Amino acid sequence: MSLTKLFNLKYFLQNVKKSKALILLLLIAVPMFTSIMLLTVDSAYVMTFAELSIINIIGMYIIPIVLSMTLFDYVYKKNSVDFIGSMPLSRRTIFLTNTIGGIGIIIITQLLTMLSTLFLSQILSEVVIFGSMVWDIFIFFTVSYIFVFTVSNLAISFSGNKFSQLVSILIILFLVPFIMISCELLGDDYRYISVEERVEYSLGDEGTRIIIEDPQYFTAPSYIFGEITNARYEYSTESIVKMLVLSVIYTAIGLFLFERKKLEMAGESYESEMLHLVVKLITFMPFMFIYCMLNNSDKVTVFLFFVAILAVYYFLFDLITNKKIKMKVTIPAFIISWIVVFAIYEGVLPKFGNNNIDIINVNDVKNIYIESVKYNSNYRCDFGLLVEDEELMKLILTHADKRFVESSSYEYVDLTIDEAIVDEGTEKVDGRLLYRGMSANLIIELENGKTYECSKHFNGEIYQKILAKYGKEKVSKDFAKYIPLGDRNRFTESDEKEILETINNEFNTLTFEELYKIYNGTFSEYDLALYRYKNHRLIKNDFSYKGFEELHKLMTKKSNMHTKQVLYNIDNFYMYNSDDIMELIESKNPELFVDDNPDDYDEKDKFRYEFLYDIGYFASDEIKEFIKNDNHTEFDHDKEYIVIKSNYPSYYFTNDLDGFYNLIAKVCNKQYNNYNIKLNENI
Amino acid sequence: MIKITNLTKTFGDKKVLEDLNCNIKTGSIYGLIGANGAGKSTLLRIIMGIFNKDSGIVEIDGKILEDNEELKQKLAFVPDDLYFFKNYTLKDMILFYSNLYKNFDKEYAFSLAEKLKLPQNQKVNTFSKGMKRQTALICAISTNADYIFFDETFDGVDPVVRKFLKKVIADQMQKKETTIIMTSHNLRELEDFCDNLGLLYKGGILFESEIDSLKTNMFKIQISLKKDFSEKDFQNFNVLSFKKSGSVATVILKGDREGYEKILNDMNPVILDFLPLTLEEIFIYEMEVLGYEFNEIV
Repeated sequence: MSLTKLFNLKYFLQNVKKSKALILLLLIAVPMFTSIMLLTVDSAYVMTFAELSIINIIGMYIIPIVLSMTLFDYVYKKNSVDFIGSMPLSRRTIFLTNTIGGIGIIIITQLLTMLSTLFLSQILSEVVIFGSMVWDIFIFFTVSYIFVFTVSNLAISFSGNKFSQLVSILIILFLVPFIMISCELLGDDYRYISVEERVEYSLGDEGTRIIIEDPQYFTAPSYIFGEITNARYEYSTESIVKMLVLSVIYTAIGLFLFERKKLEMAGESYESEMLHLVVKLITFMPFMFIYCMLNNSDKVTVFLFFVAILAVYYFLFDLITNKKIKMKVTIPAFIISWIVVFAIYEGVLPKFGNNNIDIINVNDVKNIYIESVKYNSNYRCDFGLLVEDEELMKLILTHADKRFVESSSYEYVDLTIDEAIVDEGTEKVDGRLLYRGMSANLIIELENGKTYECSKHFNGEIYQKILAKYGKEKVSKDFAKYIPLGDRNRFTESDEKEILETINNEFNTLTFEELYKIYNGTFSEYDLALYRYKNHRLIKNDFSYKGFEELHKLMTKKSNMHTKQVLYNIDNFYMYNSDDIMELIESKNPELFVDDNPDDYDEKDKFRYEFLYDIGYFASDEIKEFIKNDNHTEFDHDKEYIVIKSNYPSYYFTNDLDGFYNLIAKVCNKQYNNYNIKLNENI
Repeated sequence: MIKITNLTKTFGDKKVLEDLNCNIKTGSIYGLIGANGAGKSTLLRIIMGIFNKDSGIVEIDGKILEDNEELKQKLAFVPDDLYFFKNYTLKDMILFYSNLYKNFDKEYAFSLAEKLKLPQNQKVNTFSKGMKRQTALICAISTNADYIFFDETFDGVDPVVRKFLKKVIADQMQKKETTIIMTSHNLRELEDFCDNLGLLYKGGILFESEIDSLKTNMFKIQISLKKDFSEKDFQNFNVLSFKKSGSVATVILKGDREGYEKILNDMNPVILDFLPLTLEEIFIYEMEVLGYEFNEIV
């Protein structure tokens, strides 16, 4: 076979030329909108896989389909079928040329997106983007786009107009996942078990029950569509492999059907009446799914309502797809369709629902990898601990509190942590109750090599045993990037390098126990977020550098230097409006809150809420002056200190408490006078 | 040569072509006539490889078509309902053809366009119907294809353009031994242009012949004899039609004209005029012989 039979460049260029404006738009839409999105990011930010690929995701449902429709647009009209069909091109050449050429356009689109993203990540200091993530996005979405494109080409090979093609695409993309999800949701385990019971739970001495929810198994369009609301999608090797294999299969089937396609049906829905009916029947499924999910007590009314809706849809579908409605055929076909789909949904699908649950027997487990630990919605700690101790594994699988095991909803975890806060794992530190249990992501590997990923909550007992066994082991982490929350531009590259080195050195001296204590116990206003992109996952660890001695010293030094340098940027900052400051202001200005009625605290409250909260704004100039003149270059973090916080840059640390309080009191006095004048004017 | 054997094509439940057999000689102008919906266009589209056949064999120069790109280089098609890419000018269309047809003669195409005064840089979709036909014809002719198919090409085209188009086709045939296949439901359209005719009826070729032999073998006479006469007096002739009005009869005869002329002169006619037959008349009488009402067929 000659190469031109596989790909006829001259034909392809002409095909592109005839729709050049549209194809150009398809080519640049994703890189252009992704660039615009990145340019609008105005604060320090680390892009996640889902965030960085949001334009790609939207494009995935549009661009390959429009591209396919554009390249094959001749099949929709009889006169264009005559024109292209009469050209010295075989159908095989047309199909393969458009397929290969379309894939080329997709690759160019994704290359442009990748290059523009990498370029912008270099010039935009606010946005932190991992190069390996950009590469992953390129691979993942190139394959995804190609997959949707081949699905669209396959749909063209047996449908006759754009509407029927679109319906066919949706069916090919979503039918299997939809049925699987239907099975899951209509299955007895989901339909008749309450939400609380629907979590993985321990089974006494047996092991653990795990509900298999692995949407990454699906192809990207259905996997991402299912996860679109919570934006949890990420790179998936399984999806890529599946999509590549399916793309090859779909192209082969598409070619086979295209060579045999009855082009005389151009403009009609499908070449056979039977296929039209089957497609229509399949499109009943979402309606039936909704019907079955509505567990309504008034079943007859709901039933009749759905029959009416489906009847309207049934005729509408025929009208839209240009099929003539033949009442003698249509009405019996509708009744039979209804019965078939109803029987499938009520009788067949629920029976398969039970397959989504596995029972993990403790004796089959080879090891448990504690991947990370979460202790609220924002904070997560990389734990990276491989548990091979049989006793501990058994404990984890059989005695983890079932109330804590569902972690997909953070609110739920928070709630359960609150409930469980007083147990043997709870201790009091600095007047605060600190919970010593953990909500952890586990990867359970069985002897047969099968792995399960799940979340479990360990109570104090398990936590203590883990610490007893592994607590003294050293932590070793290598963080590729970090970001001081709220502000990234404070430091030079050499500063950042120094900070990173300090972070990694200090991490490596810590034990698991120390690390977890730091994570769990030392929240403060000044935090760092450490990021790694490893194994196609963005891993974020938030922590306060107050817990790390060397890091804390370095950060405050760097921060103070930087803040002094860019003082002109301080224009809107505030400090803690604590009772201590109010007392201080009163002590320095005893006449401030003298009122005719000493029991009336209104004036004080008004002052507190209307003025003190914004003191940073009113005192901006004075505080700038204070920082500029502050000669305490060696900040001692062991002494009492205050932190001045503003939006940008973020922190200034000083041990000169007296000087600062005097300043505040002076400003308050002045401002209070202004406030009284204003008040009197209003009266 | 195009040889079609037992060709069958179905649209849904309807059989459009059924066991159709046909031979189109190289270098001929083959006219395909038939009523609307007889299957003329479908036949052309199957020969061109646009539609897939259900069964049967289509051979072109001894080779089976079956999506054969090399063979398709030998074919060009001007359909009834013309299509041009949106925003394409005449020049773009010529370049499109030249990219796909190996033997496309660009210079010839541009010279024809110039002769026809067609604006080369104007979008073809803004052309009048006649201009579009001319554009399609220029492109098809310039492919230098061995077989060019015209489907109802002259329908709706004004006589001046029609005449010119026919001239261009004739020139092309002179230039190269091109085989032209034309369809029409109008016999007069094909009469002065085609040298072979096929009549398509109910999915098959009902009648196929060279026009010259049709015209030489069939003729019309007006005759009056001294004595009273009837159809019985013409028993020795192959009479297709006999109509007598007063003493003059109009007779359609089929056979050797010279031999018939001698016998007729021996009958000492008062009047004997040989009149030319139109193609339509020939077909009407032929169909009557075959037991069909011509008006129902075409």
